[in-house]
Amino acid sequence: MSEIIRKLEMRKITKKFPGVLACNNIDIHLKSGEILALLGENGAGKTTLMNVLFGLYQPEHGEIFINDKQVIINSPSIAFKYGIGMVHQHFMLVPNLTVVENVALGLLGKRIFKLNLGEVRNKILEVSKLYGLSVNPDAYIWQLSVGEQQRVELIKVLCLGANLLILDEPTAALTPQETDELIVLLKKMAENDRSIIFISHKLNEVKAVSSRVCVLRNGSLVYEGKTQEHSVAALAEKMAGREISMPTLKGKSKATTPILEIKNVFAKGNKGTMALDGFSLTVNKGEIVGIAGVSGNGQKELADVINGIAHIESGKILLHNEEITNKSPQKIINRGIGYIPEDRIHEGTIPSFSVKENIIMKDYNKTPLSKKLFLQNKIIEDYSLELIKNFDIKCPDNKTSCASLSGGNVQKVILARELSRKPKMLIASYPIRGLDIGAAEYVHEQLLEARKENVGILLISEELDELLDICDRIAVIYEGKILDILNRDIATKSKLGLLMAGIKDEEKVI
Amino acid sequence: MFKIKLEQKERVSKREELIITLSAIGIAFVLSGIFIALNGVNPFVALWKVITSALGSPYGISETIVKAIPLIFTGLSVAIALNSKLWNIGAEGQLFFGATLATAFIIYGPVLPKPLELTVLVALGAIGGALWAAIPALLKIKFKMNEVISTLLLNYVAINIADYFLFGPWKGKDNFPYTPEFPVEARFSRIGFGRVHAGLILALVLVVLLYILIYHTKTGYKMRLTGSSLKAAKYAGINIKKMMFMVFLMSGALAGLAGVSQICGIEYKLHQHISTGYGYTGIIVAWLARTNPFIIVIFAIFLSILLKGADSLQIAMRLPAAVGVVMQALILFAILGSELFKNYNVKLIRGK
Repeated sequence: MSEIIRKLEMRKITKKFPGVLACNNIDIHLKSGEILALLGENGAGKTTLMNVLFGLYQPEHGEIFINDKQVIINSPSIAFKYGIGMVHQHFMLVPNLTVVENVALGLLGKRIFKLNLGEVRNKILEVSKLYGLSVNPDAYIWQLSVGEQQRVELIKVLCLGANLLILDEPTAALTPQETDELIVLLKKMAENDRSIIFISHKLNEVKAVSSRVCVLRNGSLVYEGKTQEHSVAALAEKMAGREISMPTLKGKSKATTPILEIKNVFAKGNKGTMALDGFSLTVNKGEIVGIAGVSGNGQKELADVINGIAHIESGKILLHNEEITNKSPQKIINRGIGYIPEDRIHEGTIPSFSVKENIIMKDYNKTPLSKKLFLQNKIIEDYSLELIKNFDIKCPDNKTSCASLSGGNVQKVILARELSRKPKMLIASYPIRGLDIGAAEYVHEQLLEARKENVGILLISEELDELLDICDRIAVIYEGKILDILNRDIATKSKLGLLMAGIKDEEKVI
Repeated sequence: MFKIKLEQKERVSKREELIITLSAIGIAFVLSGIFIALNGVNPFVALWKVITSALGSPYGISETIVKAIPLIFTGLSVAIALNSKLWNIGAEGQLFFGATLATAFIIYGPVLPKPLELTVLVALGAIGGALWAAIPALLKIKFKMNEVISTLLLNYVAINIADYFLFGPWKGKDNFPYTPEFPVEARFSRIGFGRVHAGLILALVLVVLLYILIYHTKTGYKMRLTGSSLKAAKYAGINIKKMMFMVFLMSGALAGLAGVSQICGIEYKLHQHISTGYGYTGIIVAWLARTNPFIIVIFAIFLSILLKGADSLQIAMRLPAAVGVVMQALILFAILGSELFKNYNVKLIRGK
């Protein structure tokens, strides 16, 4: 095992990408046993800075010192050699292999010819016992929940002997309970003299877990100091560079007319099992209904079957009292359902298409945007400019490809398209996931605005703050069924968290 | 020790893309030069020979255009499929099947007045190609069979079907495997420049029509959407299977037209060598030009210069016939290899 990292320093790190200064002269330092939070909006340079430390990028300027000795890290294997491990936002696991095999893959670099799976398993058990990371070493990755997969990632880097861990947005896909568990775990690791860099834009977690915080904005370090000295609101302001107030729903919904009715729906997921297992729910006009749940409990399938993208085995879906069960996506679009998909990059937009072409994705076949066979380019041009203006989409012009827009602006393109079609019903899947606070604020404002205009909205999310902010009612999905529905006045994070874990009766737990 | 490091590029500009493509062609030329030098010929002399033979005389130019005509058709055929992320490696077979079907009408059908006769032949060529492409299309849609394999293998089937007729019922009087010469009614008119025939006009009209189709119609928008992301296409309400099927039929029809253009424009009969691999060369044309039909014309001419040049190298410099094929292969390799540079920044770093 490598020498323990007592002190890490990154000095004057500058990394440029074509047209972007991702990291501008950043200094950070870290002692063993410390948890440093790296806070910043998307594109602030957090991940880039860490990729430099992990050897994935070479900085233009700057030096890295470990225990006061300068080091050059130009590949992840060198980083591992120095005891630096990174858990990426998107897990780097092979789904068709078991936990042991995945961990062994990481160790392979050290010994090419000899692979002793038994030894690897012992190592896993040893590490998991030391830190209380429970996981079945023989389970296949695809069988594991997101939270479990993350534990495998942690075990993997620990087995490789990392004593400085970089965690890139580790809580992005975890339930509140899993998040709490992770925080406890990280603190325990820090007590064992491991050091941790925790990348996040979620302020509550940063507050809970870290002792020190570095705030990045537009590639520069704008603040560094003790976490406890600042309130959540103060940190948010430093991060965004302005005051932020997330909109919340005020006033009760008077809505009683059902717009979307889902009745006892069964549908298969892509693993062949019933992903929706007798799912029923009604959404009224002018009401936002939240779907809380750990991802993989049928949310994707639910959004797909409502929009006709996947078929259901049995059950009924009604829009405005008319049956839309298993109709084609085109017909459902025509009936007036809007959809903000989970995968905004590859489903909701096409990166190589211009903003203009993305805006007309659902209306290209309607007059006046097209006549007979032909697209009416002049009208499309004006229409797209109008939407870009109305929805404040920041792009050089309407011919810019969506690939070069920020996540927030891509989401605005989708919102512009879906809301301008005047839908009766809107399905929004994780609409603020990965967006910075400013963009999230905008998305929520738009959803609340649509609610005012009597649109029924189904909001699928894992972020309880989001659901509690803007939903009239919150339904919890568990293993393809609605476990319970809570009105906004009685819903709390802890109640929802338990339901998300599949526990309906609180007393049983105690 | 040095290590090669790849960093994903955010995006690539048109200019950069052009430079990379041209560099790839340059590298292919250098490698071809080495190959030629190894055969004992000065590569610069050979290059000059290629250029002068293809472009140095009116005759050369006209013959170059004659070879470019089928390449425009097959290039369009492969490109339109590629535009929807479908691989049509079967243009060669579709070319032969289209030609065979048109020939069948000439042999068994009545001789019609020239405009009518040619309309029927062109239509049959397109239908033949489309029918042949419908097989892999259905296999893909119904059974998820990979179209690269099915289109490629069906080439051999189509060529063997043509061979059956050529060695059987359509065998010439002297027992050689070619049909009798077609009547005048079944021949494209020459346009007054060497052997260049009306097939060129048909090809150029199609270039314009396809440009309009791809960039100015609803169908074209749907095709591009489907080609860019199946997920997004479904999301936008497009019937993907229908779209794929339609694109395959169009692709096959274009390749079938290459066949008709060869038999009615140049050969005036069906035989085994109506195509010198135009269906395969079309893949290179399409890959070089990507999806813009106008650029396909440019690269079709570029490759026909090489084909024409390789012929004369063989005759004048006694180089093996394989030189042309080798050059094409090197270009394809270089172009495919250059994809790396479009998607990644490649850096050389000092390792430890």
